[in-house]
This record gives sequence, structure tokens and C-alpha cells, in this order.
Amino acid sequence: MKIGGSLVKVEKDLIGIKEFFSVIVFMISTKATDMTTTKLFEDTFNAAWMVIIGSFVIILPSIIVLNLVLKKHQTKNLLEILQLAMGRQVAFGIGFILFLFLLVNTSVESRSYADQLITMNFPKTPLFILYFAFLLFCLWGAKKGWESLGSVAWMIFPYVTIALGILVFLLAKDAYLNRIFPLFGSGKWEVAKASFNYVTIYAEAFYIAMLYPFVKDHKTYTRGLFGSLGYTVLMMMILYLCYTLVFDYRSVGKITYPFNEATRLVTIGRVITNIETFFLTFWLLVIIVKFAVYLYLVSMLFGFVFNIKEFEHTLIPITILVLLLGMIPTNQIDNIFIFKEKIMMFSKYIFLLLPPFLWLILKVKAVRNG
Amino acid sequence: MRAIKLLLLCMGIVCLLAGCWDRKELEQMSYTIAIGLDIPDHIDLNEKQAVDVTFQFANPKLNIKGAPGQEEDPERNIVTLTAPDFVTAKNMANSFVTRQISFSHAKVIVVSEELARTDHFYRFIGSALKEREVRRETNIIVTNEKASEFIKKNKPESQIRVHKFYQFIIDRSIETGLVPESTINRLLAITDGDADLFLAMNGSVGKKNNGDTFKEEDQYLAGSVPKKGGNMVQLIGSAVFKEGKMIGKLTGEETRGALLLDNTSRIEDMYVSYQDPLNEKYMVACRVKKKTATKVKVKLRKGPPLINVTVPIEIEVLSTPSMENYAEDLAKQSILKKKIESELKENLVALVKRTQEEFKSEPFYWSLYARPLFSSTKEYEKWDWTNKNYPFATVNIKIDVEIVGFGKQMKESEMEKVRD
Repeated sequence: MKIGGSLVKVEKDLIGIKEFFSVIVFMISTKATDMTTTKLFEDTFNAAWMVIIGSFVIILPSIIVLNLVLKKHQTKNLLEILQLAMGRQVAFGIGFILFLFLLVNTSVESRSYADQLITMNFPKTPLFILYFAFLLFCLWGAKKGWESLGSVAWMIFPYVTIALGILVFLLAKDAYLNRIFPLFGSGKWEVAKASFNYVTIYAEAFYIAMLYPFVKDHKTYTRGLFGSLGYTVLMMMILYLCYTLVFDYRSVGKITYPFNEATRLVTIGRVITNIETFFLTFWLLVIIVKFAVYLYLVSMLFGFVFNIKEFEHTLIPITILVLLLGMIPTNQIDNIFIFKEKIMMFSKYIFLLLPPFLWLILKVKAVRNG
Repeated sequence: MRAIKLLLLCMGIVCLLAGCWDRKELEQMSYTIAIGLDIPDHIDLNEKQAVDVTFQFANPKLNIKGAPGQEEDPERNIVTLTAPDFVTAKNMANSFVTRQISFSHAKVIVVSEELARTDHFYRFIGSALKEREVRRETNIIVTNEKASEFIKKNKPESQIRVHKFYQFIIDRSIETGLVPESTINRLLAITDGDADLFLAMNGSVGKKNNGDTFKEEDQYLAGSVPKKGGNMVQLIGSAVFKEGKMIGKLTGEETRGALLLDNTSRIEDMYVSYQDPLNEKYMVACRVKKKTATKVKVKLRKGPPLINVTVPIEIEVLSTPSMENYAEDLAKQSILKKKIESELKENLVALVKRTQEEFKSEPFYWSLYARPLFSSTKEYEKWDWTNKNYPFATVNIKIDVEIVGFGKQMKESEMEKVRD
């Protein structure tokens, strides 16, 4: 961690565009490798890749408005601006709700990844042990702080991109282009509905606004955010398309983890087969960074809501809480199809409505104050 | 203090050395190369779920110099047992197999025709994919006799280990187009899609010496290729699956035709002989290659759809025992071209007709070309390609033959002059 140690010391806690870019890409694009895929394919068949774009288009105005608001208040993060606009109580309320959503979401998702690892790679390892070890790694990463997370993310970014490129290239052998048709999957209306329902795919773009003051400047933040979102949409779209083209629309919805199944399917030539572990390595690195950032964000929100300045001290209790919450569901179907669905159902309105609302209030206040 | 820390660290590392739950030494594993599935002899499948499972294990010792490999009784590496399904059979087999059995390197699943013709086949295969070790790129071979017999009688040439045997023979047969590629992934995609037929490799145990019936090189069914000596096991032709159930068979020639019409196949090296148009006693041997993808156009109209198919083919003339000089004479070339076009067309039309009338669906994956005509899966599935449209469709096949070469010897010797 050369960058974290020496280079960034001058401007402590601030990260540059590359680090910010790769963190967001990791946090969002992994949703093309977990159970989100399964749910999307169930709802929209082979048009799942359209939902990725559709959701992005629906949520884009909110992200832009939020960015405008943040620009006005350069040094403040999302919740501080909330406080400024709506007063302490309301900000506390919204902050607390956001914190709860993020906490539950973190535990549900991390549990889902633990399940995924167990199902596909470690069938005999007890869930608790694997989950514990996994979160321990994430905690260790989160403890190192925001700038180290950024530099680690940027450090592994090229390798992950290369590995993903290899996977897509190898999958192309088994992909038949016409499987993309009928173009609108389960129907145009269904795709539109799903696009609206799945806007939470991009929820991280809002949570990351908590870290606005920790990015070098506004230009870096804007460029990093929109650049990474564009890149992420492209990545996810390619992966979703690959799954459809390789497995066909009726089959793909039946696979629990299309990503792992895809890595199992590919071979390099005739002789080098069973290469899924190669992809697993990079995938695990990404997942660990992802959840380290998640843990960091949760404890940051917690620190803000309960006025704890040195919020990094709350990381350990928060991680334990995540672990305990994550252990509650009995299996991944419970976990994803019941808990996650509920979270998605309620939280999407916050992400869609909060930024315009915030902008409006600030505008009204500004006008009133002359 | 430092010493204590070091000691603690060392103790921690010792714990790690023991490994975790899923650690297995290579020596503790037994890799299954082929899995055979049969109907058990004395059990009625309609009343009770059971299957005869045959495992053929890899023999890692074979590679070590000085180790007794081939000489060892090969039957020891093949076990058959009756179990509720082939996933639990893994554990059952451990009552006499010492190592943990793994499917992760299984190259083929061999299924007897008897089982393939029942509903149970798809139940076993489709649901076995829940097991993480069963891989989608595993090929399916349907055998005329019991799968266990096929696996046992399979004695590859010397120095070839079993996994290599399956890998090589499957790759090679797919290249020559005599059998289709039949991975589980394709089976599931086609069966779930419910619009096409799935073709599986057809294998059989022939007699050691087969010899009476002589036909053209690819017109055989598995098990009837005339030969003397060699391995008793042969792969040629394909088994036709509709909705996860076997309904018929295609000969090697028909399989090649189906693969020519199918754009998802990979034929690379297909040698075919055609009757010489200038001297009907002789045949012209050619290498046939698809030039580009087959063009398939499905047109909707009132009543059944119209399907226009263009097959662009490149031909290299390899031998002309009639000693006709095709290379020099453009007129003769055009006669040969016409002859090949008409012969190929005749075969393909007959094949399409057979699929329309006998199978009532197609094994060419043409539903892919019907899909763009619809905007949603609901409309497409309601329209029902396989049941309501394809069997009644008008199929026009056009063949574009291009002669691209005449091998490394251009002219033939003139027989009359030689005889002089």
C-alpha cells in the first residue's frame, strides 16, 4: 500500500479518480455475478440486459440532481446537507432509515455471497465459519481506511478486467447471437416494470455520496462517478448478455449462480479444462473489497447518526452485527427472495425521491433567504 | 515478548496447515471419467425411482514408468451399482471404493437407449445439475445396448488412457460431423426452450468383425460400420430427443446433413464421396466445408411459414478414381458441381421431410431464426414453432457449391494411354 502510506499522506483521506472509479465499479458491477441475476432472469428472461440500462436511465436524473446539490456544498457529505436542509430531527430520521437499509442490505448480500461460495466451491465448510472468515477479511480491509481500500481497488482493477475479458472471450465460443431474441423477453411492459423495480442496483451511487468530502474535488467526484457508472452499465450488460447467449432464456432463469456456472463451462482449448478457480480468485478479491467498503459505509452512517466522530472504532461491533443478522435466514432463497425483495421494494423510493426533494428544499431556502 | 509472539504465530500456522473442511489431497480422490446410466433389471421405474449407475474411474498410475497400469484388470476400475440416482450412487460406491468419488472430470454420461426412451432420463440428468460437480460441458452418448456394457467393452488402443480416449474420439467425431456435439448445456437449453430437437451422439458396441453390409461411408448407424479388428466401440450417427425423451435415430449421413443445416455446429473435416457424374461406376471423394454460416430465413404468411435455406458449401476434390480430368475442364467442373448440388439437396430435402413427418420438429436449431419475428417470449411461445408451424412449413433448400481446389495433384493419368 505504497500510495496509502506515502503519497496520499499530504492530503489525508482524499482519494483520486482512479481509486474512486474502481471502488464504484466493484461495488455495483458485482451484481452481475450474484443472485440479482437470477431474479432478473426470472422476471424478464432474455431482456435482463435491457433492465440494466432501463434502471440506469430511470435513476440517472436523481443521481445528477444529487450531484448538483453536492456541488453547492463542497465540503459536506450527504447527511450533513440533509441536516442543513431539513433540520436535525428529520436528518436523523432519514439517516437512521438509510443506516438500517444499508445494514440489512449488507448482511443479506454478504450472506448471499457466503452461500454462493459454499454451494459452488466449499460444500463441507460450515456456513458460520466461512461467513466469519469472509467478514474478518472485509473488516481487516475496512479497518485500513478509505484510502487504502481505494488503492487496493485500483491495484487489482486491471487484473480483474483482464480476467473478465478472458471469461467473456471464452464464453463467446458457446454463445449464439440469435438467443437474444425475442428482443423484449417477457414483454415490453414487464421490462419497464422490472427496470423501475430494480433501480436499487445503483443504490451505491447514493451511499457513496456519504464519502463526498473524501474525494479530491468535485470534478474528480463527478467524473469518477459517471465514468464508473457508464463503465459498470456496460460491464453488467455484457455479462448478462453472455449468460443469455450461452444458456438460452428458459434455462438461464433456472441457474442459481449463472456467473459460477459460466466459469465452469469455459475451457481453454481442449486440454485446459476446469478453470473456474482462476476466475474465483479475482472474483473473491473484488467481493472482499466490495464488502470492506460496505462495512466502512455502514459504520460511517452509524457514526454520523449517533454523533460518533471516530466512527472507525465502531467497525468491529458493526461487523459482528452484520454477521449475526446475516445468519438469520435459513437458506439463500429465504434470504434473497424474501428479505432482499422487501428492502428493494421500500428503499427504491428513497433513492428516487430524496435527491429532487432535497434540491427543492435547498432551492426554496435559498430563495427565502434572498 | 517477541519470542512469545513468534511462538503464537507458529502455533497459528500449524492450525492452518491442517487445512479446512474442503481440503482434499489428490490421492484421496477418485475421478470418474464416464458415468453410465441404465434401467435396473428387476425394478419397475414407474413405481420406484432407481437407476443402474456405472462408474469408470481414471487410473492415474498408468502414467508412471514401471507401474503396472494396462496389465491390471481393467474391470477393477469399472463398477456398477443400483442407486436411487447417480448423485447418491457416489456415496454408495464408497462402500467398496476407497477414495472420494468426484464427477468434476467426467467427460461423458453414457445412457442406454432403453432409459433414454423413458421420461426418467430427463429427470435424472436435469436434476443432477444441482450437484455442483456435474458440469454442463459433459457430453451425452446414447448407446444401443446397456451403458455398462458399452463402458466395459470399450478397450481403447494401447497407450491411450480412458479420459483421453473419450476426449479424442468425441472431438474427432464432431470434427468429421459423424456425431453431433451433445453437451448437457445444449440438452437443457433446447429442452427448456421447447422448440427444437436435441441430437445426442449415438454409440454402440459392434462385433469385432463386422463385414457384410457395404454402403457409402456415412450411411451407417452406430454398431454397423463394417470393419475388422480395432476397438469394439463405435460412435456414428445420433439419437433424436424431443422434449427430453428419445424418439428416433439418425444415420451418420443424416447427422451430417443436420449439422450442415445447423449454424450452431462446428464441422471442420468432412470427407464425402459422391457418384461421379461422368462415369457412374466410380465415386468422387471430396472434402466438404461450410463456407459461411447457413442462411435461414423464416417468413410468416397466412398458414404455415415459409423457410428459405441457403447452404454455401466449399468442395475440394480429393480423388477421382474414374480418372476424369476435372481440374482442366470447366464444363466438366460445372457438371460435377450440379451433380453434387443435386445429390446434397436430395439428401437434405429428404432429411427435412423426415423430421417434419416423423419427428414433427427439427434438430437444426432453426427456432433461433423464428425468434426475431416476435418481440416477446409470450407471443413466440404462443405461436408455437415446433407443434403448430414447422411440421407444416414449406422448406426451400438451395445449395451453393464452389469447387475450391483439386488437391496437390492437378491432372489424372490418362488410363487409355497407360494401358497402351
